Amino acid sequence: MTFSSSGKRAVGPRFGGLVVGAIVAGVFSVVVGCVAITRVGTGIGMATGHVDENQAAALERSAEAVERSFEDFTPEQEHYIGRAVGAEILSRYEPFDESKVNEYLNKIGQSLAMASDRPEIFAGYRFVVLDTDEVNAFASPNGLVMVTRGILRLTDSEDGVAAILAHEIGHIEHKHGLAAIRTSRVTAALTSAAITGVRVASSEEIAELTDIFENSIEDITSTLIDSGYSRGAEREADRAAVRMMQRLNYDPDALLALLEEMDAAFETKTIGLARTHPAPSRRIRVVERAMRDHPKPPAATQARQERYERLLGAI
Amino acid sequence: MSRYKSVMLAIAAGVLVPMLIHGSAQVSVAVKEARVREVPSFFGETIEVLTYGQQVRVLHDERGWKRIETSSGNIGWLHESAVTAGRVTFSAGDGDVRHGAGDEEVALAARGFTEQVESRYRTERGLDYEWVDRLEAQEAINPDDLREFLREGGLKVPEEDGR
Repeated sequence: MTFSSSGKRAVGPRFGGLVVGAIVAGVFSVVVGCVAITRVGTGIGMATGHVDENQAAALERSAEAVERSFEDFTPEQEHYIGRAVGAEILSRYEPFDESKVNEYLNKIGQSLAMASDRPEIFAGYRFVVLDTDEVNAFASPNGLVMVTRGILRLTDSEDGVAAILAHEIGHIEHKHGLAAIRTSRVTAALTSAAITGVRVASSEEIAELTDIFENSIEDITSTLIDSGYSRGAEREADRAAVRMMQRLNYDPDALLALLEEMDAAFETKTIGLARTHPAPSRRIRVVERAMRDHPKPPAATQARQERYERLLGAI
Repeated sequence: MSRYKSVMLAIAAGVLVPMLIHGSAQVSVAVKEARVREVPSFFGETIEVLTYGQQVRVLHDERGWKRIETSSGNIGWLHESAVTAGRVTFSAGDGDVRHGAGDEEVALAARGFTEQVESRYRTERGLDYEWVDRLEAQEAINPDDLREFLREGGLKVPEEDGR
């Protein structure tokens, strides 16, 4: 199981590279560190009367020249972003309020999440069915996965349900939602406000941040609902899904079968997913490649098929 | 030669000083609640529950897990996705997640998206968070039930076969 590539490098012949890398990393951390230090410094300076407002603003402008990436959001900020995305989606689609069905979905989903490369997320993973015929599935950055009755009807096995959920967990694992936020907003969110030296941001600062927040959520929801992730992101989520399924012995063939069903459904253009996802035929090739060299898992047990039919067979 | 030495020294200082300041073996809890396990597995016994932002010392890494020592002296395991390098800052108003934050951290804290921002956002949008709150409050499936679920379905239980 690979978590990072750096740990695998050969030490000897790459030593020169490592030294250069360490220097670059060192310099980089100093540069990044400076942003924080300058900002705290100006705040304290202003509070103590050593720096006037103009000087502070000038200091800040130079510090803010460093562009921020979505990777700079703290886990807590990712959580708040995800909650808002979840609330937006749940205001458009009614949840299917059947506790037995949702519990079953959570058992499949939480098992897959545990087998993912990101089993721990701020407030944990949760899964819920949306009460609509539309064929769609959403993942919000706080670990909330929402799948429609319509998409669940495209499969006839627990492995198929696992394929849908694993793909969505893949988007969360790779932070595709956060990556949909425009860089200018990320930079603005992470460098604005709270520099006045007071402990709590003023209402103007909160208002400014709320505007940036609203636009950021809009970036994500419009990607999820209208434009869709890039093909690269979909490929990454598919590969992650195959990996999770293999680790639990779910059969990734179920993901292929699902994509074929979607391909057929795409023809009719009646489904929401057709707007936002690349043609399934392209994704099938990616999944087939990811599945190569792995033995086919044992067939599903009778108990697995029975529980599926009992709880989701008539969805 | 002496010039070469001083250049090398300067470079070494440039690399080492930030590494020392950042404390390479210290990591922070990146989730609301992290269960420190007796063994590197989600099915292992919990020996301590840590909260967001608490710092722990990493003793060593093993297949996605970190053997750590907590500030209260317990030694156990956290999955690497439960921690983040360095310190995390807190949002203003989240009293329960602020453990020993220094003045600088509190000054940094009010930046970015916080509880206050969410509260204003939901009011302005007239957005209903009821389902989001409800789902978040749902207990996670108990690890023993999860293991039973996997076994019953003829599936593989992670970490039981040395993955």
